[in-house]
Amino acid sequence: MKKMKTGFGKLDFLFTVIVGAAVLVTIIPFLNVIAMSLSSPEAITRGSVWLWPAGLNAEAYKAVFTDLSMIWALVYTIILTIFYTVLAMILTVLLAYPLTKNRLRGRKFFTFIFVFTMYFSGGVIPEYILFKNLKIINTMTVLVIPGLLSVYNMIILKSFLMGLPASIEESAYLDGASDFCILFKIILPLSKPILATLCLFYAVFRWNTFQDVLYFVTNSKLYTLQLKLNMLINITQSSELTQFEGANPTRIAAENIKSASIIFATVPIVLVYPWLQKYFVTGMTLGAVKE
Amino acid sequence: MKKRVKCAAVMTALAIGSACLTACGPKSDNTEAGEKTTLRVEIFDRGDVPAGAGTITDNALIRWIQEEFGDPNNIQMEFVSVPRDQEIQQLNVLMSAGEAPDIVFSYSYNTLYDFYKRGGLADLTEYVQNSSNLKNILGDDILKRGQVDGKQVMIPGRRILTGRMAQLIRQDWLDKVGMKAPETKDEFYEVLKAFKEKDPGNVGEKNIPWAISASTPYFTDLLYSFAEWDEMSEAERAVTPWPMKPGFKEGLRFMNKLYNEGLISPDFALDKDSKQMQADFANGYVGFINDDFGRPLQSGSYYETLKKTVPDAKLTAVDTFNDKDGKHPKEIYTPVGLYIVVPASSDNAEAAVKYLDWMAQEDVLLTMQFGWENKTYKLDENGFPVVLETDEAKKLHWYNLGFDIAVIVNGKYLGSQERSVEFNAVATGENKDLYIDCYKNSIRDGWEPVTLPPNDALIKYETNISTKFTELVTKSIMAPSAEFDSLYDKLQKEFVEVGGKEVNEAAVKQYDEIMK
Repeated sequence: MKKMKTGFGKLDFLFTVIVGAAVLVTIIPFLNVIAMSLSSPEAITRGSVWLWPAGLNAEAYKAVFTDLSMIWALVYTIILTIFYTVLAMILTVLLAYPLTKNRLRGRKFFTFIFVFTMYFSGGVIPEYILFKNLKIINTMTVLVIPGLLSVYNMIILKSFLMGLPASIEESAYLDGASDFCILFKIILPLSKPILATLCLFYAVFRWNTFQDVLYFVTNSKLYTLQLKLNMLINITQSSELTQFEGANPTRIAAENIKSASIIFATVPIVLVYPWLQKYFVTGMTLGAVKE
Repeated sequence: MKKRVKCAAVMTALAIGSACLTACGPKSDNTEAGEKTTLRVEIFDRGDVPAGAGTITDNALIRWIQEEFGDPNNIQMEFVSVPRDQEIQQLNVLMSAGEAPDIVFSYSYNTLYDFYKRGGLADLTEYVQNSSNLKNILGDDILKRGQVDGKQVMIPGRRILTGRMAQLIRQDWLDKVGMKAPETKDEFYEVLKAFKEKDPGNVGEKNIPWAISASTPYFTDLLYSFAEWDEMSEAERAVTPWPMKPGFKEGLRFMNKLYNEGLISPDFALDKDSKQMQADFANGYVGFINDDFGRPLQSGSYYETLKKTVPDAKLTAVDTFNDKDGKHPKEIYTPVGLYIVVPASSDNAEAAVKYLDWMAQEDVLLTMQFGWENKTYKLDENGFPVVLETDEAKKLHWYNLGFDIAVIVNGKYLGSQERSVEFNAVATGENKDLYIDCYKNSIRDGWEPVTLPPNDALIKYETNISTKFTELVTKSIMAPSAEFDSLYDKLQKEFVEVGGKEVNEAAVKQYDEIMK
């Protein structure tokens, strides 16, 4: 048997350079935003801030943290995200598991019905009219129910469950376990990686999506953090617009406050990743290889 | 085995059932509060509500409107907030769903015109005729701009300050090179050359006599000053795209010369958001700038930073881009801010115009714009409101709230244009006189762009020609002098071919029809 090559080969070097470059491209804008959030507005006007803050101060963070509407948006968005993720996971599991069972009559039909919705959607205006008639415009419900089940995520889970050995289930059944018992005591504990991944998908989706908030919510108390952020950034970017309108541009948040708000809105969801990291990699690649 | 089949079916049914909840929710009946009319009014949400002031749709000013206008007229006011920068998308959804507020407005004439074409706007002619306050403050000229096919379907808000761009030069640099403030293009060129050669700011290689960016308004007034107005028909003067107007090439030739002699920002083409231009200015590298009038003078802007970098820096307002008749033509804004409409789906068109007419009274407008005397503002010796900067005052009223509620005017309105200019000038503190000079320059010999309703050619070719326009301008300026002519001619021909010709023909035809 040939001895395995150890050490750092040419190819390894190449990969390191490529991956390193990709990391830099991702991380530099992030560092730039952090540096800006800690700099004085004056230094930013001079264009002297790149990766290191100039005129170091925490005024911007003070402004963000004393802005009650931002704090409320953060709390509200966290509650919304957790609530949504839990409900979405329950639905996804309860749908995906039965659909893996051959003994379910009409299984193909049900699967088709769900997959069908992936190809067609009504569009924003019919959706708006529907929600209006359901009286859920301007409520938290409109941010939870319409997107509660992602068929894509359900199919991922279904494929994973189909990969589990049928014999485990058979033996549990022979021991007298009910279907619910099998699902909750045996199947789900075995599926932790995929469940963690799907939780993350749902949570990140809810955290980052602001289009539905934009269209279906006009009560500013129900704005999520990302919508507030979107408003803040787009408005500060358009100083030409404010000039054209005659609004007062100097009353609008400065560059450093904008950056601090970006960090404020991004850090909470980034913090979730390390907790799910150990499941995440396995979950993503599961089902990629057929054995 | 049968039991298990059932069980699986139950689970699926559970999941389907919950997913279908959206489709079969309870249909609650409409509950309307008595005979009170509910008047729904759009308001921009700029995300700048001060802490403790409530929300954009529920605050002291809005309660005041309810008490002063709503209650006496048995009207319930309801403000509907629309995020400022997503306004058009949101409006499209609301209009299509028939759920738009009774009072809707936008700066985009084209969007509203489109609603009109699809039958989406109510005819307000009759109501406006009976609104003396509103007619008084807007005047016939402005109201006319909201008429289509002889019907008053839009009510234009009145723009108070129509000035757009103004030029500023470093007086301290002029003093050091021993020159007076330039008044013509030739003098301007000499000054730029002196700035380059003598380096009065002592900044070496970073010296930029005139800072520009990729955003063309920062130098288009110069290009326009080369236009050969005599050679054009009235319609061509008004609506023909610039690269097809005689004289445009000479303007670019001048810019090309400045570029090749190192008199303008070398990397202007990369500076898309003008941040570099402003940073260079703030760092004291720049001698001359043609920016939005007043913007550099406001507190927190780059002039303030410049004075910290170079303590004896001083700016003077100049107006140098003369044409061959000795005039200083420059683009100004039309005297219209946003356009206010009432959707055809609304039952409250009359109440809506009534509200606008009520707003047009002087004392109401003053309260909407500034709040309440001694609570949110004080009157100075000249009768100008001075906004109080206390936390208590901010909870009651803030700048952009007044701005966004008083939609019939754009910018602070204090009875006349002169007073409004002076009010804004006072707000810039020590730059007051400079501000007034800038404003005067910005409207001197100003020409107003003509707003045409969108036509098919423009919709089809707009992207084409605007991309080509940028390419034409940027490449021509950056070309080596010897290649300028051939490059310009080639790109100008392309501009005409990718849609310039069609757009021009359609616009000229449309203009002639309107003016007939």
